[in-house]
Amino acid sequence: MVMSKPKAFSNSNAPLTPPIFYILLALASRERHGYEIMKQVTHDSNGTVRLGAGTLYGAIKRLLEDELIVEVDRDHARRKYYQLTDKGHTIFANELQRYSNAVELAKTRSLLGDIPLAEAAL
Amino acid sequence: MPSHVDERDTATDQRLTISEALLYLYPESFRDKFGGEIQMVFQDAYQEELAMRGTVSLGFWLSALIDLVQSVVAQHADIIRKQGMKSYLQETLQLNKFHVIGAILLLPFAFLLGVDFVGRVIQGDLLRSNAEFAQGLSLWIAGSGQAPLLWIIFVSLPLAAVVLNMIPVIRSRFAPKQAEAATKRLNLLTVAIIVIGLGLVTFAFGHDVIPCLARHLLQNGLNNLPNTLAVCGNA
Repeated sequence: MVMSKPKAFSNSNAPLTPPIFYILLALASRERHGYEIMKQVTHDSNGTVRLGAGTLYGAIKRLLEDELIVEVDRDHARRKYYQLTDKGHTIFANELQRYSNAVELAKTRSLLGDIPLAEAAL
Repeated sequence: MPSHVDERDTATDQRLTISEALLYLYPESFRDKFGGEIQMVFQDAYQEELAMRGTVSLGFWLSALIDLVQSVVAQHADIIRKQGMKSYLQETLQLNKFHVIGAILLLPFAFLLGVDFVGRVIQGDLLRSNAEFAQGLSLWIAGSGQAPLLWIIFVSLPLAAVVLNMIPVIRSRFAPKQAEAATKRLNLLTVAIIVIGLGLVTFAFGHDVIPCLARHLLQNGLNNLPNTLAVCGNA
């Protein structure tokens, strides 16, 4: 029995999962190889998202299949580097906009005023 | 980013060889495309842990093991989802018929011994009667009255053999020779750890100690570990 394939990122209105979001965030500024992505994800998430090598490349495989990232040719590079595609930038921008809208909504309802940001992050 | 250390010690080489062999648990297509990259990332993380702490902690290995299990299951599930179960099984089981036959022959023994083990842990009536049957059968086959060492060896060998045989079932038949050798070393290491470990524990504490530890750990977790060790040590 063939099970249904999960929805591609571009066909889904669902928010990105934290690992996928932080991988796209890591690649939004520049191209990186796997270990750089892993370190950047841990740093950007304040250690709340830690990717093992297998999980990282499982996510990279899916992002490649959905054409959100591509491998970059680098002369003499021993490692593979990855960068966002235009489609990846669009998906990531949409996700940031979703977050921005949520923050604006929270501000208009005065939900952020009483909560120190450091505590809110916890 | 840590620099790669050219002059690694033997222990480090052995651990990285084991991690390389474990890549064969991934589906062939995933391993061919990302196996080398995964190994490089793991080496970087390993070297950084070593540089920061002076040693590689148990937590590092635990998180690496959890990541391995999660990602291996996820990748095989992904193949099944895309190709279907029938195609997946055909592709997997045709890899090495000798190993498949060996595993199938040994699985009934492993099942009986598993029932024995579970029966001892849970102590349920139904399971206990099955456990007595399984233990009786295993003792009869082992030709031993009550010798715990023989019983434990009898438990260990089929289980180790199943582990030994199931790994090649999962891996590709087109494996490069170097990695093939690494996988064989891992299999031998698995057998050695299971047989020697269980044998030593049995020699030291008797054959009830492992079910006793499992029962207490299931009930209490790691709470009051010294008491658990004391109770099971005297079991």
